[in-house]
Order: sequence, then C-alpha cells, then structure tokens
Amino acid sequence: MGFSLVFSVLRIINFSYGSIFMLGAFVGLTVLGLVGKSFLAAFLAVVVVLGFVGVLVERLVVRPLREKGAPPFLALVSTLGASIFLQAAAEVIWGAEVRGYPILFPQQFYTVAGARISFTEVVTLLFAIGLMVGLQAYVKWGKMGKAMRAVAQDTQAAALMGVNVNQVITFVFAVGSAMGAAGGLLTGTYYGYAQPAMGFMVGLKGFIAAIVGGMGSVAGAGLGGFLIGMTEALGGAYISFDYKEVILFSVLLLVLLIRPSGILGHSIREKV
Amino acid sequence: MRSSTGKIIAMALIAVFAFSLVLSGCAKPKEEVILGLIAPLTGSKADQGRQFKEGAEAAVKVINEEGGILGHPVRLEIIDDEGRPENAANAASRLAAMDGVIAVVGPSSTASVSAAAPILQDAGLILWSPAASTGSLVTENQLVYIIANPISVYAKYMPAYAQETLGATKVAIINVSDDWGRNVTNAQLEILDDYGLEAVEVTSYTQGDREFRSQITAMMAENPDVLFLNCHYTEGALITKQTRDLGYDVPILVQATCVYPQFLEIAGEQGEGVVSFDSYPPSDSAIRQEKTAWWKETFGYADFETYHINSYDIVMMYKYAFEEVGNFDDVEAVAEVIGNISGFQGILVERTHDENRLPASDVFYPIVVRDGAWVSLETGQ
Repeated sequence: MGFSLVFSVLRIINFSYGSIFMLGAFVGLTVLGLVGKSFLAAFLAVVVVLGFVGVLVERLVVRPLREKGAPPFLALVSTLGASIFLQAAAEVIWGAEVRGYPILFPQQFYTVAGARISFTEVVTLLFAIGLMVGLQAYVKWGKMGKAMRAVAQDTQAAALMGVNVNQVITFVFAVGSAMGAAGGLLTGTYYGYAQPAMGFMVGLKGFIAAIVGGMGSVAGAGLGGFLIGMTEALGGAYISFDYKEVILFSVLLLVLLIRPSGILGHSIREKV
Repeated sequence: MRSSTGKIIAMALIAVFAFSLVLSGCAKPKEEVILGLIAPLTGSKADQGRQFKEGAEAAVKVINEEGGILGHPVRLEIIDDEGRPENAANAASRLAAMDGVIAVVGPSSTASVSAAAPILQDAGLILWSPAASTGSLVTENQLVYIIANPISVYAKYMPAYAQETLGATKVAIINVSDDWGRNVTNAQLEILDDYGLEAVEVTSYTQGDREFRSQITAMMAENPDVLFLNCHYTEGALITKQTRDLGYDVPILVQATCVYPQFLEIAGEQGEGVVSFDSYPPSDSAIRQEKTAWWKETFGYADFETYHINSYDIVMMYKYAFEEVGNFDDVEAVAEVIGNISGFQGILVERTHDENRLPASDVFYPIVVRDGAWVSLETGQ
C-alpha cells in the first residue's frame, strides 16, 4: 500500500519500505519491553515513530531531488540507499541477531471448515483488513485523501486550486511508512521474532504486489498481496517449493504482459 | 695529566662501544602476524558470526598473553561476509592481497567456503571453517579444513534415533534450499533403508522464508511418524511452531544448527520436546558448565556456544601447527601438521583428524528442549 500511495502521488518507487517494515517490528518489540504486553501501545508507538521516519525520508532523501527536477529513477536509487542506511542503523541499535517477540495473544485455536486457525491469526487478519479499509476510505472521503487524489491527478492544477502539494507529499510518506511499520509489528507478533534482514524480501514482494495489483491503487496493492501469497503457497504445494519464487515471478511477468498497468491500475499517458 | 685524560677518553669510548653492543644485541619487537576471520557478522547468520568472532578473539588474547605465535604478536583481521558466498570471495581476495596474513578462520557455509577456497589456496593461505561440514571441501582442497563433524558422520544421527527410540518407519524431511541443506538430506536419503525408514515426503524452503504451512500440510498429508528438519535455527523454530499450531504432534528432530537460544525464543512452548544431536557435551553437563563459567569469567562473554568452541580451537590449532613447523612460510608443512593432528586438547574436547584430514570424532549427545532449555535427553526425560 505504501508503494502504491507514493507512486500515485509522485510517480516514484520508495524502496525504503522494506527497512521501515523491519523497524516497525523492532520499535514494537522495544515498546513491548518498556510498557508490557500491550499490542495497542506498541501499534500507536510504531505508527507515530515510523510515520516520522517516513517524513524524514521524504525531507532528506526525496525532496532535494524533486526540487532539483531529478528524474524519478534517481529517487528510486536514493530510497534504496535510505533503506540500506536504516537497516545498518537497526543493526547498530538492536544488534544483527534474531530477537524473539513476547506472546501477546492467547494461544487459542479454532477449526473452521477443517482448517485450524489461531487467535493471533484472526487478530492479524482483522487488523490488516481494518488498516486497508480505513486507508482506502480515508483516501476516498477524507480531506487529505481528496487532496492526495487531486495531486495524483494533476499536481500543478491541484497547487493552483490551493492544495499544499508539499504537505500532501509529506503526509503520503508518513502514512505509507506507518502502514509498512504496522505490517512489521503484525509480522513480528505473528511469527514471533524480529531481525534486521527481515525487510528485504518483504520490500521486494510488496513492490511486486503493488505492480500486480496496479501501481497507484491502494485496493490493488491489497489484491496483489493476496494473489502473491496464494501463488506462492499453491504454486509451491502443487508444483514444487523449490520453484515457488520462479512461479511468483512468472506470474508477475504474465500480469505485466497481459495488463501492464496491473489488475486495478490505470495506464498513465505521458504528454510529449 | 694528558695520559690520564687519554685513559678517560679511551675508557669512555670502550664503554660507549660496549653499550652499543649491548643495545644492538637487544631483540627488536617482532612484527605482528595477521589471522584473517571471515564471518557472517550481519544478516540471518549474525549470531553464528558473533560466536566466530568472540571465539577467535578469546584465543588470540590468550596467545598474545603467552607471547604470540613464534614470538610474533597476532592480530585478527575481521571481515563480515553477511553469510553470502560472493562476499566471502571478496573477503578472501582482500586477505590474499594483505601483507602479514598467515591463515584464515571461516567462512561459515559450504557455499561460502567453496567461493573463498580457490582464492586463498592460490595465495598460499590455509582456510579453516568453524561451521561448514561438507567433507569434500577438505578432500578436494589441500589447504581447506573443517572442524565440525562431516555430514557423512552426523547424517545418521536422526535416522538412528527415529528407528531405535521412536520406532518410526515413515519420515518426512524439510531442508533449507542451499548446499548444506541438500547435502544433508541427500546423505540421509542414502541411508534411510539401513534404518528401515521410508521418506514419504521431502520438501524444501528458501533461507529467510517465514511461512511454512503449505510445506507442513503437504508433509503431514503423508502421515509421517517423524519430521527431520535440516534447517537453520530461525526457520527450524518457525516450522516447529507452525507444525504445532496446525495441531500436529508428530516428533520433530532438528539439526545442531537449531541448537541456539533463538530457537527457543521463537518456538516458545511449541518447541518443547524437540530433539537434536550436539557434538559437544550439552549445557547441563558438568564439564560444559565448568567451562562456561571459566569462559564468562575469563573473557566476559555472555554465552559459550558451539562456534565459540570451534573458532577458539581453530586458532589454537593454528598456533600449534605453525610452532611445530617453526615458520610461517612452509604452508604445505603446516597443512600437513594440521592434517595429522591427533589428541589435541581443545577447549572442551580432544581434536583428531582421520586419514582424509577430516575430524575423526563420531561422538554425539542427544539433547531435547525441556522447560525452555536445551538439556541432555537422558536427564531431560
């Protein structure tokens, strides 16, 4: 969702999300250590702290390039650099080793249609759906959400209509980072650990999910993530787990060939 | 007057001459020599890398306090390869180009050793890995050594336990999709028949994966009596946890690569009852507890784990070999001394190499997770 949000407004790819995701897991773990087993406190802290980190990435890494009129691919490279910096910073602060998460939810299990589901899985799923629906609703009906859509459609026209474009862009980075960090907290809680290297593959797969779903579409990003997860799981189970990455990237290529703008994306016409 | 002045001058000159002779006779401090250390200090094997580093540092500290190797103080040149073969090759190139390097400790995995070995061998440097366990690395490279028991030795521990203790006949195996994981699994598959076992499902995963429910479901659909996890600790813990979360109580056997505190942290209560096989006396044994206390008190490190022991002993055996040969230049002679090591008293166990220059030990200790700790199977039951 973070990839899609930033792309919809700036037409750039923010590759720092993998590290923001990882930092979400570590900040959450630290807060849980300080305040006890309160998921809500950890969630609020993660959203605020990493939202701020997202703002810093925009101000220090993206905006200087944007103001100098640099081509979008340079922002891709600079956010990749920011990602490496953030991972190194995490290794300095928390160490490079795996850190275990406390158990936050009751170890209860339910059987639904023959499938065994844990209480933690239910909470994680509901929380993720809630975040996605909330963000989608805000983009559609919220004041800043409308401003985001206006900037996404035509930055100059939006500015002429009184929209503070810089403020909108900063907000997009803050919200996108907060979402990514919340994902890190949920992952840490669900799988039971945090590790500095945990964000790389997630960032890559998040990027693929955004492409498959349609860059610029929040709902598309959610759909893309779901399809990628199912492709990996079913492709591995029915073909071979050795080739699940091959299967995943084959699906990506197929989607790009059939529908280059992604499943819910819209093609962008560049004026020359 | 003149003659007495001349005598004084003559005596002074003699004294200066004698003093200069004494000074020239004083030994200059010998130049330091360098031991290269290639370790995964960051990335998914960072804990292993930390142990490499701390073990080697402890040994170098002891060596320098005792006068160095052949009188030369020793310095560690530590390079982080993040556990990646391409970085291990780069690290090997850096060490090969550096003056004063006498030998190398590390890198960690079979793939990383394979990448670094040709470069170091060309530079006339011996490589000794604290973690790799593929025997062909040694038999195919004159200047490569491993300290862990080779796969051909420990591949049988799980099948033997499955047959003799669990009475199992059907086994499902999951392995990390790297050289080590495939080699261990292949070695097990070759000997399963000898133990009356049949592999009903063999599957794999990519290092760094978190979600294993598909693989577990596929394995459990074949109704195995026991699961073999040829994994590293993070994934081993996640597979164990997810297997239990899915409601399966099948016995789980894991490789020694899972015998880490992090396995216990991640697996939590679901890790209880998991069995492994360590090549060293377990943490609840008297000898291990005694050595752990000494280690912590002497060096100030928080723990005393497998790769501390391996790295420490490698550095100490390097010292032994160089001093046996008497110089740093005759690398082949040093390699021969290492290859013939027999009964070398390491920090915890004796070290002996067989006729293939491989570790000759076939001793293992079954251990189990009980009350959140790895303990001897005998005392833990």
